Amino acid sequence: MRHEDARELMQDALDGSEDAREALGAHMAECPDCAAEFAAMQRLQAAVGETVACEPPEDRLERATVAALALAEEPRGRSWVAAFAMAAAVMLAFGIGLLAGREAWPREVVRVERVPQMVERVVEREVEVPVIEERVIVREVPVYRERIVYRDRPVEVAQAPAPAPEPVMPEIREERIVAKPMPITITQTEEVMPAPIAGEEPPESDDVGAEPRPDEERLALSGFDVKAQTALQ
Amino acid sequence: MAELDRDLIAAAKSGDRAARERLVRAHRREVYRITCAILGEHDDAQDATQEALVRMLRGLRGFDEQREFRPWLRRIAVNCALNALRRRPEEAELPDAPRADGNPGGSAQAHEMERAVRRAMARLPERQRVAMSLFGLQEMDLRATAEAMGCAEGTVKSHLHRARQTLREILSDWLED
Repeated sequence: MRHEDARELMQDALDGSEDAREALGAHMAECPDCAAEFAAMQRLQAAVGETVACEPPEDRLERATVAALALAEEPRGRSWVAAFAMAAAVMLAFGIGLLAGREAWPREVVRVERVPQMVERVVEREVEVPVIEERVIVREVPVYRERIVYRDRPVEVAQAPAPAPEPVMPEIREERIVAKPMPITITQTEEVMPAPIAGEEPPESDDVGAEPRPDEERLALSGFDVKAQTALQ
Repeated sequence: MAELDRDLIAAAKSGDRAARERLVRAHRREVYRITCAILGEHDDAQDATQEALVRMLRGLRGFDEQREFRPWLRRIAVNCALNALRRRPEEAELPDAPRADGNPGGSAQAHEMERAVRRAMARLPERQRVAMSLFGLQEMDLRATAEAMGCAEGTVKSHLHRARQTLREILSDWLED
């Protein structure tokens, strides 16, 4: 007999087959390996039997008995109706709680600054809005994404029914710059030049660039007789 | 079927409360052993026993008296134990040996061996574990195990053979001389 066949017989013998046990006995007398293996399998079966064996405690048995007898007396239909009624009551209470108990429900208070009642027309104008800009900063791996949010002053919502205010144009003042003439005093000085003498050149002035002398002095230098001239006039 | 059971069953089916109680007390011990063998723990075994007895009492009205009563009741007990087993969370810890509840006797080595066997059986597939547990009971042979599990004897043999091979490998250190 091969070892594989003996292993099959061992299983059948452990299942309770007397024929298998007899056939295996003859083989095991000549094969100590199979004998040792069958002994180990018998120990395994015995260990499993000891593990699952349990002597029921009397108190547990009594509690289970009393409860079972009591529960078996209860009609099952009533329990289904009771369970359905309870479930319906719970659902109804939950619904009522949702509808009527809103005030009691914890809420978060949110402050509303201004809510436009109606939008009749759209007024287009330039307003300042918050600018959200995403800027990708590529460095090395990995890529960091930085979000910059510019927050400006809150944008006021125009009241829809009110007409749009006319844009206030800045008052432009025209300023003219008038050049005011400065008073100029013109002093005219008549310069009487003596009659040129024939053959005689007028003397060159030595001091070029010098201050001009007074008229009388100049006339005296030139030999003009001022008194005589005045008398003639 | 024993004559006592036949009379008791007939009386219990007719609504005799005393007969119902006597029928329960006559079979509750076996029901408990089956549920405890599968569940391996007293609290769950008690609950499963109670549930099995309730099902038995409620099912008496439709029970065919020509059938065997004990295989029918064992089948109920196995189903209730399996229901309790499947309700357990998967990460539940392995229960201690059932006998620790009442009789804590035995050597430390025997106790360790039982724990090792219990841990090894917990690794078996459910059908193999149930077959080994039921067949390990003293009063259960191959046929009774097959009836309780609701399958053919050949199927039970297949489960037992595979389970033994697995346990043999897991518990090789414990089983060697």
